[in-house]
Amino acid sequence: MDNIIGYRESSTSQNEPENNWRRYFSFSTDHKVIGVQYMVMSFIFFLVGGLLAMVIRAELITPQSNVVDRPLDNGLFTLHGTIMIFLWIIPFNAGISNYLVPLMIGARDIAFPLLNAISFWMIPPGGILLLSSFLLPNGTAQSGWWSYPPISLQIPPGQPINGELIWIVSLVIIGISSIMGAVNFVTTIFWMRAPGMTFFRMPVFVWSVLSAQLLQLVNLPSLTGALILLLFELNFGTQFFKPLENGDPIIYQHLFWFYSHPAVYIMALPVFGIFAEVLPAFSRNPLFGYRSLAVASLGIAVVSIVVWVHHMFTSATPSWMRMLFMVTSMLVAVFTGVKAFGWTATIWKSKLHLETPMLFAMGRAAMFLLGGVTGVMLAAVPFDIHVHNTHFIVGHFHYIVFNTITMAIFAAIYFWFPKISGRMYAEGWGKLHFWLTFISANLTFFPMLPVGLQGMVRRISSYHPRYQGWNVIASLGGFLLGVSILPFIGGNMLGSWLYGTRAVNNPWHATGLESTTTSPPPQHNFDEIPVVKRPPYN
Amino acid sequence: MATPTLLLLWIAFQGFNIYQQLNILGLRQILHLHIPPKSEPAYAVASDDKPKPASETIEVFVKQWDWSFRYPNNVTGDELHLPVNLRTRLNMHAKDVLHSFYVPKFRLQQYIMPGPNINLIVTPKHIGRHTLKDALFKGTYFALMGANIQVESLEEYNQWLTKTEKEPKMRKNQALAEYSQSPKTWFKTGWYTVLPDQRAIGRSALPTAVSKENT
Repeated sequence: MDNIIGYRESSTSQNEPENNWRRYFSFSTDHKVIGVQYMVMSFIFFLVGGLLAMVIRAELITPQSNVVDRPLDNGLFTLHGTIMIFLWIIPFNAGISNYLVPLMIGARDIAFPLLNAISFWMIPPGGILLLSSFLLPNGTAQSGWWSYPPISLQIPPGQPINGELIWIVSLVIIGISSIMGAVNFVTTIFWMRAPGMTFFRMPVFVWSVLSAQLLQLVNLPSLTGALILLLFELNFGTQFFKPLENGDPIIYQHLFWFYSHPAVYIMALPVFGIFAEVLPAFSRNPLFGYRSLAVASLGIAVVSIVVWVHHMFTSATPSWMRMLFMVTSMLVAVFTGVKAFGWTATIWKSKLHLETPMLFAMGRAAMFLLGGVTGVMLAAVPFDIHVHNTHFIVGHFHYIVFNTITMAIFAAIYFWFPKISGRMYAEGWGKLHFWLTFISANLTFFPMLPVGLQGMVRRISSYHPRYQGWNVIASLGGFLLGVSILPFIGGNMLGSWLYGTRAVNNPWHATGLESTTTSPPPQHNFDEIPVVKRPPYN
Repeated sequence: MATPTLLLLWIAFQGFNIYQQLNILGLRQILHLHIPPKSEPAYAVASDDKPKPASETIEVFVKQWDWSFRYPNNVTGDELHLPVNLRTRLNMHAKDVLHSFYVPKFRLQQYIMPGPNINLIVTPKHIGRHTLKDALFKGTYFALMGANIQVESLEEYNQWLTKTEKEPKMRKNQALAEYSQSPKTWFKTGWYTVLPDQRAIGRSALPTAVSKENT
């Protein structure tokens, strides 16, 4: 932490946003630089994952398998899922948390800056390694992002370097990076708060980051462990999961979902936090029910540790387990409901300022309703037994991860873009981006719900012609979704970063500590560490 | 806080009730299902519709990538015929990887694992033709894993059994058919795939992975 104190002398006037882009390619230990590095890198992976998805949608526009051959299609959806989860949403959340948490709690940097830089720099090699498996003679991993054994163990014989191995290794690298990141965040939030910043004066965003990162600490080792066991199965002939050699493939499913269900909350919780920052700013109201929203974040985290079996209702799971996990899964909706009520009450009877971040936040709230309702439906065992492994699940999941989480990520980018870059984004491009995204996301993901109820199984590259109508809509929506990203990249991120008008310190009348410093913040964040005397959102 | 909790507990209670029906009484028009593989279900609910032991047992075999069925008189086929209104025990065996027995019309799904036999008792209530799918992803030709289900009256079922015993039908294997020719897709990679298993149904045998020559 000695480098933090050193910056005090160099506190020059930060009025002119410095255009020192080279530092974003350097091994910097400044949490703001690392945050931007995380965000930009994960956005590039988002584009790659989106391209893969568009090829899958092109394949599904006709009932026959006629665009890519079946092994490649399997590789495409495997990598699409892996990239979007482990290289887009989770690193992006790490990035925005990196940028904002020290600013919001009034710290000069994160607790372990060097560790922070190392955890970031582990991810690009991991991601590039994963993508490089497209170049292997027998291609990428093809067993879905779950990688259930025994199917994941069916590798080309006599080829020790294969897609599955690469998949495991890169996921272990990314996993270790996430664990180190979690240590950093939790330590920072516990020990680096400014004087007077008690736990119940922290913004809800910080609460939700704390909850998400605690989940990473508790649950991620389970996935990393499972992956290492899978690696042993694959290359060293162990028999943990091989059913025909007295192993038990169900154990892998338990270990996998013990992380991968909470992973949804690791992705969603920071997003709930973003929402709690954006809404009060644009409705000019204090956040309704601050304490319950803050505690609900922890509540979601705790309950989500004990819901994982709802992914396994059909895996020969005993009845008592099905019932138990049905009830716990539904409890998640109680805490999420508290949050939703809090958000609604915040904007209730207020004059709304519908700038782009608010549009994204409200569009996301509407779609989260559908994602949440289908979630409760899926928690009910009899219903899940019917639609498990169908496109209904895919639709529900994308209503959460795209229509909720990714939309909220866009809200966050627009909301904090002036703070990060020191320049305003272009409102017109932003609104165009929102409407294109909102319409095409619904076109893409809604058809998956009815088609799944009719029994269309997921992860297929050919299907019965009676499902074609909905699939055509979804595919066209998917292509439009690809187009919708263009105004964001061209119009806003590149154009505004270079030519946007100068941003003031607090363009949104927000109340967090980050709005008290300059835009962009100086390297040491605050000229003087603020002393917090009031509760948040006042 | 209290209201959503109560609402959700009510939903959970309803879910439990329907699950019980699924377990013991059969979902109204549809069927009987009983999951625990070894034991008979606990008949907790006093009911005059007390389940009788299954009257028919059909062996279900599944492998990469097809289904086959063996009936009590040793008839085998690639179609699942079920007598209507009769409890039929499906004794399911997977040969290589995890599979999932999924009949959308029955609202039913159950994973099948190599090793332990999984029993599923069904009582179809409506005559008709349905589709059996494999819902759990399992590699290259996964999308081709379908089979027909014919629910018919007991007489028709018995007629079909005797007829098929006399003149067994040739079994077609979609995965094998597609494997034997070059894919009709615009882009071809020729990546490795497990060879479709052609061997006859049975219980033993480990899965074999045979490399497809890279062309």
